[in-house]
Amino acid sequence: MSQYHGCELPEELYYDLDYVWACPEGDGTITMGITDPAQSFAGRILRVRIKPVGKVVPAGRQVATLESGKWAGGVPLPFEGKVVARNEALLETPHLLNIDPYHDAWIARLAPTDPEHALDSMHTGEEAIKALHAWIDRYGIQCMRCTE
Amino acid sequence: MSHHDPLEEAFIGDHRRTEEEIKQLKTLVDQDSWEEALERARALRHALQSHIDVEEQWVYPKVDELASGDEDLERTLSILRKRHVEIPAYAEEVISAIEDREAEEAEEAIELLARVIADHHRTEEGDIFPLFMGDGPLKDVAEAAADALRKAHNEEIRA
Repeated sequence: MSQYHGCELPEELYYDLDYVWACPEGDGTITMGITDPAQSFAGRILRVRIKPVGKVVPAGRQVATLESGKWAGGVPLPFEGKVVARNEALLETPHLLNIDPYHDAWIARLAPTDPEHALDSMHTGEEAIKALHAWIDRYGIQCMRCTE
Repeated sequence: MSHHDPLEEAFIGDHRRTEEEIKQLKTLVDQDSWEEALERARALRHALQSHIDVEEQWVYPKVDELASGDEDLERTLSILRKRHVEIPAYAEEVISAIEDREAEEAEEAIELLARVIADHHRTEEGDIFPLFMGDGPLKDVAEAAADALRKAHNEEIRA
C-alpha cells in the first residue's frame, strides 16, 4: 500500500485520477468508491445520495453525490453501467467514507455496458499513484481519517 | 458620489443572477413546467460556460501571475479551476434529468448545482475579486474583464 501525506493509495485499484477508485470483481461487475485524498478534501461527509439499483448511468454522469459542511460534489462514473448494488450503510452513516473509503465505504457496484473497455479511461499501478501524488500536492491535502 | 466598480457590477451581478436563475429553475420543476424548465436550464448552461470562459481568459491568468509563490492563493485557484470543470458537468446533469422529466433526480441535480455554485461564488468573491476592486493590485484590468463578460453575454443573446 502506497502512502503519501498520510493518504493511503492501494496500487491494485483503478483510478480516474480525481475522486474515484474502481475495483473489477470476478463476476464482471465493478465496485467503486472515493479515494482517501478525496474524502480528506471533502471533509466529514454528512449526506450521501446514490443512484438506485437498476439505474443505468452514462459515462461521466454522477452515480452518487456527497455533501459535507464545507464541500459538495458528484462522484462521476468513468464508464456507462447499471447500478447492481449500492451501499445502504452509507445512506445511514455517510461519514463511513471518512473512516474506511476503500472497504466498508464502497459506494456502488455496477455492471458495465461494455465490460471489455470499462476501465480503459482509468489508471492503475505506479503511473496512477504518481498522478495521485500530484493531485494531493495540487490541493494541499494531508489525509486524515475519522475513527468514529 | 457613487462608486463605479466594473468587476462588481459585471461578475458579482452575474453571480446573483445565476443564483436567482437556479431558484427559478427549481420552482419550474416543482410546478412540472418541464418545457420552460428545459429552456431555462439550457440557457443557464450557456451562461455558466460563458462566465467560466471569460474568467479563465481574463481573471484567473492575472491572479496566476500575482499568486506565484503564494501557496494558499495557488491552491485556491486550483480548486476554483476544478470547479470550472465540474460546474458544466453538473449543469448537464440538470438538463438530462429535466429532459427525462425525472422530478426527484432533477431536484437533486439542481440542489447540487446550487450548493456548488454558492460555494464557488463565495470563494471568488472573498479571495479573488477583491484583487480587482478598489485599490486592489489588479484594478487596472477590471474594466477589460467586465467588458469581455458583457460581450460574451451579448453574443449569447444574439445566438
